Amino acid sequence: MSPLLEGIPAVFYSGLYVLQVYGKLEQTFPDKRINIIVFITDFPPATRIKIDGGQFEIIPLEEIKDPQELENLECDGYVAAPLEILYGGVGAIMKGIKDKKVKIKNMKVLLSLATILGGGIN
Amino acid sequence: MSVTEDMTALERVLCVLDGKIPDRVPGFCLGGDYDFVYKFMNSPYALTEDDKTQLDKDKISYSIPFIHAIIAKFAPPSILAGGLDAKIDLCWKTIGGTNLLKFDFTDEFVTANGGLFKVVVRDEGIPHYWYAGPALLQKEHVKIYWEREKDLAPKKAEFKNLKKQRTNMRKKYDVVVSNGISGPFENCVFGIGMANFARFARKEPEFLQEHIDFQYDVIHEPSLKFLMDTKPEVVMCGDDYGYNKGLQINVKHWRKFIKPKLANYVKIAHDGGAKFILHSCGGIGEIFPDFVEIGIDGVESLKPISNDLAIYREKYPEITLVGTIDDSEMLVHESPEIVKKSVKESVKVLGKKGGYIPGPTNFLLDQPPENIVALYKAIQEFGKY
Repeated sequence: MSPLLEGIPAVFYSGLYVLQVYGKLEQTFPDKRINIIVFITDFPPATRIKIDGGQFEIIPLEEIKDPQELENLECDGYVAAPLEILYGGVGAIMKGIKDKKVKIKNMKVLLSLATILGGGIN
Repeated sequence: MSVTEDMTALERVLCVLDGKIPDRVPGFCLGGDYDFVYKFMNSPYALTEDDKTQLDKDKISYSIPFIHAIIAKFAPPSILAGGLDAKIDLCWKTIGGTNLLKFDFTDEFVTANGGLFKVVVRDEGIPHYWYAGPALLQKEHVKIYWEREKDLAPKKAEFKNLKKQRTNMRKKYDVVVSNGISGPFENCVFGIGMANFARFARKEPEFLQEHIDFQYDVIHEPSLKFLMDTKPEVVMCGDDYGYNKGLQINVKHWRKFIKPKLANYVKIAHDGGAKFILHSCGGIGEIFPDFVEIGIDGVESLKPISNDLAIYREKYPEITLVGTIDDSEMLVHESPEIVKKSVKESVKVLGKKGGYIPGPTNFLLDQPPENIVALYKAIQEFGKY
């Protein structure tokens, strides 16, 4: 039996699943609507993350091979960067943007994803 | 009916670990995986909106697999209005192991110990975190790993919430949170694999020693120092030495390569004023005398099918037995009545002179929640001296 998701899409799924299984996604973020794409370039595939009314959906985007292709996709925001930079926190991401190692659209919506993933479970 | 408590959970747990007899037998829970949380939240015992409002106000962690919010739910109604009145006294939270790295020799995530890490969501929609095998299969890989010293070193920021979480659980729900990191054996073997461990131990012991020293100096010792800066009362570190019928490695190799490092863990905890509990799955009776020698205060897991617990109780009174309630057969397949009988018998045999903190032998996974509630209610009912 092949898994429904694995790799980075499964990591995002598990982060949102914790909130959902405790009923906290609906409780804490009932009106949140976001549609964003995260592409950790050394761990493909890119992942579309949709949250709407306390429900979430994770969609692996196997067809995306290059960060430039994100520009053609409909979404509220995206980020593409290697794992090392994304793990390095805001400072590393800001430096990555300056060095053109990070491709990003709409930082605000990406921060709201970080708030959701970190929020509500202490 | 709530049991009248004469001691706090901290007093009770420390009293047992000191070899004295407390007001009642304390209960322990390691934590629970995604499957158990799903089952629990879809059971009659699920956290209610009112529970969550109070737990949020008290800043209790919901994170999996340590499930402090669910553990708090077992509190008496005097602490949490919707509590299950089957109080748990001791639980766990570890730090580290989530730092993922990229190496050119594999397409998978690599954890700080050099192991491959996999997150999978199966058709039923429940996520699973899996150790998927060693990444450092060749000596060259190990040497490349050593070059990543900066990425492997623990970051103090990872430890900053521990004290707050411990204090909230203890002050608001009277539950002691033990804290720890993983042990020297697991970290070594997860990275290089069992076959390499056995081969290096026989043919290239200096190389194996160098790797174990590297992990200790770069990861373990600084992690333990950061941990002790948070002043935990109880340190519990996980290092699975056994399989069902005995040790996974030759006892001579365990004594040569692992025991000295484990002794350092214990010393660092004791020097910081904490008790030290070792979580170690499988049959580990052969090294109980070593545990006594290096001053371990408690040993956790101790599945009865793999360990002669009555003998341990008799021969090693210095060590508190923690866990011992079979998580993979009895708690999964038997009825709540059988669970209660089993707990009653365990308390009678293992707890009559103190030195016993019962609980499931591992993280909760596919057990019916009613069996877990029966387990902790039975500890309350039969755990009086």
